[in-house]
Amino acid sequence: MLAIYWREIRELSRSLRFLIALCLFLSGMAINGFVMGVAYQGLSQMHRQIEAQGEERVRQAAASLEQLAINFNEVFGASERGQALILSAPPPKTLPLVAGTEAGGLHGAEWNFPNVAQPADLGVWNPELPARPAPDWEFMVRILLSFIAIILSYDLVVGERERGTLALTLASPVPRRRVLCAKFLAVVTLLGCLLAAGAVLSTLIYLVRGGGPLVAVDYARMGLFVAGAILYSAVFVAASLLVSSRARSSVSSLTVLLILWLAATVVIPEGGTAAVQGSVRTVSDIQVEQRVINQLEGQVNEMIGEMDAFVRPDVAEARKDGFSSEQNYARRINQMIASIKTTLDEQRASHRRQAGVLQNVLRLTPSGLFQLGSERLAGVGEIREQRFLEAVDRWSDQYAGFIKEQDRLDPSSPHILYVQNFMSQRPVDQATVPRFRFEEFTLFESLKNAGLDWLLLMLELAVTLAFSFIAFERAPVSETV
Amino acid sequence: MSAETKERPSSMEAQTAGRLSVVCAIAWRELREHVMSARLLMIVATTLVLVVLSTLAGIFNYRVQAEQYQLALARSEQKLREAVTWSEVQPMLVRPVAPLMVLNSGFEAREGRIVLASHSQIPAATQDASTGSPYLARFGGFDVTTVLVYLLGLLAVLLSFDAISGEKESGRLALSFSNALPRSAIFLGKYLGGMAALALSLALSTATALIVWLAGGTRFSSVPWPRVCLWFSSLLLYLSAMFLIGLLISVLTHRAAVSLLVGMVTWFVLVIFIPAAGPSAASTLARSPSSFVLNNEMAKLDRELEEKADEMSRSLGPPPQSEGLTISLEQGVRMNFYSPETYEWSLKYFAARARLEREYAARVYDTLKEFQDRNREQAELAFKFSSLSPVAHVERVSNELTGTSRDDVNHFLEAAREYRQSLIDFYDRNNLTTSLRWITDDPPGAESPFPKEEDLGKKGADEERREELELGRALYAQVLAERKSGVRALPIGDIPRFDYAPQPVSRALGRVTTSIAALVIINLFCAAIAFIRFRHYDVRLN
Repeated sequence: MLAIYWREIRELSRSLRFLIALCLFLSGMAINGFVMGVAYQGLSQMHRQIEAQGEERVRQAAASLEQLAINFNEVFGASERGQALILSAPPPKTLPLVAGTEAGGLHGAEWNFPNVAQPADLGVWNPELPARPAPDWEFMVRILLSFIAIILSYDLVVGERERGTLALTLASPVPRRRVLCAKFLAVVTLLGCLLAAGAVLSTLIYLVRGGGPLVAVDYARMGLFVAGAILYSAVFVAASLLVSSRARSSVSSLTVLLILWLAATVVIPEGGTAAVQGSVRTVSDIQVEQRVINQLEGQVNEMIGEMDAFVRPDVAEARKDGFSSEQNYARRINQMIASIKTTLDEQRASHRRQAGVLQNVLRLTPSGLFQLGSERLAGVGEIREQRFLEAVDRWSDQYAGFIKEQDRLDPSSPHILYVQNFMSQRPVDQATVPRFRFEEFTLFESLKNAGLDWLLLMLELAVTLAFSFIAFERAPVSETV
Repeated sequence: MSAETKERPSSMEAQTAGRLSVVCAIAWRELREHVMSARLLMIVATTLVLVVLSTLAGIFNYRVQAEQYQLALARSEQKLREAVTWSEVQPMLVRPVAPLMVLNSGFEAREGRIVLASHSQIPAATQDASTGSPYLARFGGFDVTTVLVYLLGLLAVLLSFDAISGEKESGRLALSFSNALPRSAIFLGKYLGGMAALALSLALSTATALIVWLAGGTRFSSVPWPRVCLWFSSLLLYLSAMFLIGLLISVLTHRAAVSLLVGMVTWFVLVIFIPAAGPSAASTLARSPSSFVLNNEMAKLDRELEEKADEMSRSLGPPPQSEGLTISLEQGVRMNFYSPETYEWSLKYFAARARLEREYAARVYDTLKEFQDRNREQAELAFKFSSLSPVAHVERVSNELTGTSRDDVNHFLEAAREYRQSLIDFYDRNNLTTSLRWITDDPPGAESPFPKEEDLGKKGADEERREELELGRALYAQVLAERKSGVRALPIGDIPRFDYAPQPVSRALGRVTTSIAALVIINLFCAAIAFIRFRHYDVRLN
């Protein structure tokens, strides 16, 4: 068995196709290193700018508690300085591994005090370019390495049959399944070497071009990814052996495999996306605008109808009747904020539902499983965005709680929260103001998220492999005419 | 076809019947063999299934977009109806959906649909985001065109990779040569036969797509047929290029197995690798500006405008005091119940502000334009990188011909800018920015219904306040009722209409002449080299 293994490795590694595959894969991974290094640099620079801007605004607003509230609300123009605060998650360090949606921009939110957050456009994404997947490792493996797996193994059985050497190979005193096992392992070994070489090359270029710095967890993710990638490409090797055992000629073997490959890697994922886009409805911006305007107009009209729901310029006068008008105003404003938040949350939920359906469609193929598994292993993409928005919500509650608490401590404040001149004017120690920090997934969480997808992929490999063994057991030794 | 079958001559007669019939005979034989071959049947069957699925997906997506379009139109009309002052009249222009997005999604669904025409803003980009989860946006548009480009491109290479080297191996080529058939006739015959098979497959697939589309409820007459025909021809030109590339590989190699391998790798590189790597390489070499930087620039301009407006308002002196209501929900302003003096002052302020806003609109537009130009440069570079592959060209041509390209979006924006200019001209012609109706729908000269400051003090403050509140409520209810009854309606029938016609097909063709030329050149180049090599092709060499 070992003899066959080494023979296959020797022959394949010297073949023209392996050379071409090597060139293609390494050039792809080199491009990846360059692209992601530059992208990481740009993104982390933007993230630092955003953080610095936020820090500066908090520092200025800390002059009085009131400013910490109204300066960060532009929805109702409570003050002329009111402007949404931009929050962002740093770019993931393992950008070359799986870029997810992150290569095109930062996950960001425009946050309005006290709790309206909507996704912010923090893109380096160019709308003029046609939509293409980011050239990350995941793409290189999902599309290129699986293609190479087929190219290397499509004629492992049928080719030998055509040349007439299959009878010779099978004449050796080894069971057939061991022969197949040797062939399978030989190709997988070569693919593993290719992948490892590409990964090292890409990482080096990435680090030199300004990516990282990578820490132990990142390397662990990379290692796990490489293991998963080998698992994934092994599915294609097994499928190749299966088709190769049954095929009449190497040409038909390759044709069938290419069609299968196209279906698994390109057609079902992309076609599924198109179908999901058309069939799972989402709330569009036009609808959001319509709803928000309707709600606001109704509420503004009501408010004007009430006429007394306004803020009086003189605090002392307002104090006389217990701030009734201002309280009414604040209540209204908060109602409006809440209704805007509901509409935006509905839009977000509809997006999430659409993405969820898409993920299930993707799971139909090994490449979809691989894509999802890698994304979840690296902790990027849709789940990271969700985690980010949840973190924003949590932080915003904490922030609003902080303001309320500080306001409560000031006996001279009228406690009409969110209304200019009717809150505490005391300065706040800026160090105590809660800051937004995004925590990445821990490796354990990532493994838990990705577990199901990897398990399913392993199952697919086992099934394909079993079928290819059965097919090989029954494979004709010589060409049937 | 049956007529052709009858006159199909044997290869002996072909020699005597002249060159043309030799070519025809070879082409016919090639076509017959291709059509019966397993690879063609497999790929065409797969293509048909995928074409049906992608057309269905295209129809779904078209419906979503059309629904958005209708929603936006309804919203636009509602906005116009609800406007009570001229400053609130900011027509919302809606980009119509290109029906051929069913065949080629292009940029159609990736761009927003609405643009506001107002004096304070020059349209440079659509204002709404594209519909759907941003998570899905990074997957390319998978449409009928993509299916055909991928699969029939694969078929083109699969039909031609062994046309020469395979026949040499099987010995048939030697036989053909020994029959003294002219090599040019063999070459031409092979090309025509292969192309006939490809054209048939393409026609079958396109017909399937069209049937599914028409069965989905589209009227026959509403299909833009000239565009469909041109789109079909551009795909045929692409398939011809791929076929000739395969033929070139076939004459450059001597074993069918090697040709196949080289052919497949070439297909992969041309169809998948280069189109994906081109934009990546471009984004590394030419950085596209981040939207954060752009937003900051915009915020800066905004602040500057507000400061200028404040300055201007100070120069007008303090506004005369009177009770009233001001609403500015969006950009326009709506005032009620003020005294004539207040209106006079406000009119001066808002007229001057309108001038300021126009000035700033130009500056905002320039900033946006600069940002877009950099993006466009990057896209141009990305196209240059991918222009080695015929796929990049056919994609561009197909987007343009189906009316789903970036140029079509830009064409809409251009029309929106022209419309905005005509709207401003309309304002100026009728002196709207200096008329009372710019800011209020109160009748001119009406005194403020609220008691004046000097009348105060007679009653107790609380009682006075209560009375005022009740008066305000009654007045506002009256205004609302009058608005509803249409007494206060603006004569919006007079404003210029936005008559938008999508980019005509002739102009679309003009924009992609270089890409069409590139496809033709790839065809000619591969054909020439392949033919020269074929003339000296050694049937014995192994």
